[in-house]
Amino acid sequence: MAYRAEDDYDYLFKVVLIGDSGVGKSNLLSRFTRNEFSLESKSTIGVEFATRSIRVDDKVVKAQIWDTAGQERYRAITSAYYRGAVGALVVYDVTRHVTFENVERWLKELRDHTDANIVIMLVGNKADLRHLRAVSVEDAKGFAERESTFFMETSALESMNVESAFTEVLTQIYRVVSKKALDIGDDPAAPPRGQTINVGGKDDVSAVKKSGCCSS
Amino acid sequence: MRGGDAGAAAEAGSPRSPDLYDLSDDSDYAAAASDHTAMRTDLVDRGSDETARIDVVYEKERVTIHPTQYGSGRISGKLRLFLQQGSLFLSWEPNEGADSLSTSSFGVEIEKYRNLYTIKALPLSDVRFIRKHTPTFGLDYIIIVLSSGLAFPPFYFYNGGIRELFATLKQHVFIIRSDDDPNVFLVNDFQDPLQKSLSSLELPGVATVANAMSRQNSLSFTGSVDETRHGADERLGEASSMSQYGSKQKHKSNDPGRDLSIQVLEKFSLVTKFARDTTSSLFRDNSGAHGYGRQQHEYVFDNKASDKYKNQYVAPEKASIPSAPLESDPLPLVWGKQRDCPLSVAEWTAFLDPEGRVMDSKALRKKVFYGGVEHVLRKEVWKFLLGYHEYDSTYAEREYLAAMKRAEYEAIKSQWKSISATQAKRFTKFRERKGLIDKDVVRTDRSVPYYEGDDNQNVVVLRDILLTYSFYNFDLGYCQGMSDFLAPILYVMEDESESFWCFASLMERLGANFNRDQNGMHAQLLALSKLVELLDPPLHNYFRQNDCLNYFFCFRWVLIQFKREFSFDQVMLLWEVLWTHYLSEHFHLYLCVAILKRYRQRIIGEQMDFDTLLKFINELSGQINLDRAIQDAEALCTIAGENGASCIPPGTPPSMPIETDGGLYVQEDEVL
Repeated sequence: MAYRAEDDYDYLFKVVLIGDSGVGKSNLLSRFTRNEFSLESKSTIGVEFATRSIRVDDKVVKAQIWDTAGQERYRAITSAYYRGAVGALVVYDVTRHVTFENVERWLKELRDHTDANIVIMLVGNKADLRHLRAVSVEDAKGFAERESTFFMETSALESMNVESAFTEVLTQIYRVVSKKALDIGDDPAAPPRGQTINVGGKDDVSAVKKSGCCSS
Repeated sequence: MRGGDAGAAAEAGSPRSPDLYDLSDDSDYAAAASDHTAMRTDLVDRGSDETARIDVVYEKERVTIHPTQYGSGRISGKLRLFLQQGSLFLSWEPNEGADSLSTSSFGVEIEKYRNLYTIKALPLSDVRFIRKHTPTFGLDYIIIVLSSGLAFPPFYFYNGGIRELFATLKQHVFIIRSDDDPNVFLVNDFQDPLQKSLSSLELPGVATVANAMSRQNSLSFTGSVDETRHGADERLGEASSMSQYGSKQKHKSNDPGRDLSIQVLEKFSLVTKFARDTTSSLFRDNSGAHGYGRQQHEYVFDNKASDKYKNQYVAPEKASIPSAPLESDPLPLVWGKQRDCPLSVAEWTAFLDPEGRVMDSKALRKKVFYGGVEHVLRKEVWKFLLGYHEYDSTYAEREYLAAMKRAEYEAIKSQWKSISATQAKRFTKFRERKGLIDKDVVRTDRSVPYYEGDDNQNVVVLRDILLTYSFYNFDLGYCQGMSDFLAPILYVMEDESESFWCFASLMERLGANFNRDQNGMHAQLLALSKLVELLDPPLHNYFRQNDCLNYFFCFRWVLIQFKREFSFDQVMLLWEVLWTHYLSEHFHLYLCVAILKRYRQRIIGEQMDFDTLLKFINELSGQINLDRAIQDAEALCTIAGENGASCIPPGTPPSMPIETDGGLYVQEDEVL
């Protein structure tokens, strides 16, 4: 089977990393999943993903984090990878204002392709490059509030907030899912509590979505 | 060794191969000898700690495989049928030590890979049919075809015993003689007539070459009458589409059914070396994983020797297709030829006339296809392969061209060089394009010494060429992946202008990979899907059932021609092989099929869904045996023949694009 026995988890959440080319998506991923960082890591061709499990409350949440090529030209072929995503990190580079300007377009694409309840976090990466900063925290915060997304600045290089950003997104997804589980607690058709809700698989995505529960 | 020619019952129950069967219980052994039905011994499987009771019901010595086309290369062994937990299994173990049958130097080579052919325990439930060959002259032999479509090499019975074999089989498995061919015995087949079973195997062509015994066996060539009517050029395609040919032609001529089924069966057996190679590698790939289907573990081929085998196998240089007359032009082996040494300076010089023209470009491309190019020659040879230089150009013409092109390059480069900072502020597209290129060149092959370190001038040259190209081909612009193509080219050329023009030539063919609408990629992935359907129907069905037919998991392979899958040096070799367009312009697609086939057992066995498959394929990077993949792809390409070519629509990259009135790379406006 796709996942081995030692690979036990209570929840599997698919999270996508999007944003302009070169903002550091792949390094955020490698920092979170393997604690690795490389200034010279190759550009992403096509799509890749990596996984890591974390604990939320008493549950094991496995994150399947998808990383794609940032160049818009590839969207036609990579948009399929949004399928089943329940969380997204929209990444920009705090030293390149244009990557922040493009966040709006990424959000639009995200909302075009995913469920409205998807948990989104705006991530300003490369925050270690303080002297090169081109996007202020205030601007980003304001934007995130208007767009009702979470926000955090990170540095994959310095390992700053990477853990927190992913954990926050995963925890929020978990809240949505467990809230749903509570909401439908009296429904005889509902899955018993504690059952694995695989939101990564294409058929199960909708464990979060079907009931139309509201996002936090 | 025992040369026992007695019946199956007399031989049964006396396993003598200590490496396979541990005769740890003498009383069992004695009991087995006295009572057929109670014959039991302990089978100690070398591959695992499992022990199980087995009951040998048939055993025959001197059942021999002829792995080469030369009669001197033979591996003698012991064929057995045994019962285990109520199921019938077949095994074949080569004899230990020097084989008296191996009289020539081939014996030494064969010794190294004899174990490759070992069949430890093949469940009869996996057998589709067995064909018996009893030629008037020569040895009797059988060919075993599995339900997967794979076939084992012919087993020649030096001491007879075929009749007993079938008699024993009949006692234990459902086996029926085919209505269509009395020599074919369908196993586990309750309704299919031969014709159906042959056509339903859908192994296109299966193989197109003969080996030793099919040459010796005149039956193999009785189907050649029809074939001789076809032109020599058609012969390969015609023969390699044999299974379709077979089903189409079956009722057309006098006795084609018999001949064609013989041919098809021969082909099954002849592809076996390839199939075996593939199969054993699949099993090897599986070796780390537990909990697989019983079958994988039970007929694990001993393939310790297979890596050596790959390099040491004495492949016959040429062989003819069985359906063609013997005297016809020989065709290359259907399984990938052993990789050749790279084109050397002396060989290259010999290809050139005194004025520098390449006299026989086809022979050159063939040489490069099979062996690549010595690195010092790449600078020169790649320009031809990429189409920047004409094969019939002279030294003088090329020198002149280089000068002209240098000037032209500088002119194009000056277009963006002259953009001032102020102008750039009002030129978003330029800024963004430059930004993207700047971002990419600093993460392209930086571990290669040529591009290593801070302020590396070669990285700047990469940037300049890509930016210049994005002005030369403004519609296409810059797209991620281009830097991957350019880096080896610049490394080889060590010259900015020459690199630019070589890259531009490559993009003439591969530019469509980067079109915004991705039509070039879609065309290739579709063609790949068709090729897998043709060359591996079960895998195709698996992908279909699992919603994987978009082949997006091969996206990176195709987009940048395996650049990320192999080391820098390997990529240079692979690319020059691909660029020869020797067997096919689309050899890279056959390479995809070859690699997928290598891992099909993993993919299907682990029931990979799309996500898992994507991750699996991505993680194959750095794990693929390049030489082997090329050899496999060569075999597949030959097997597919015209049927393969017809899977690939005209204009599919890297074919030259079909020209239209509009621009080649008209893009919708996009920000990046």
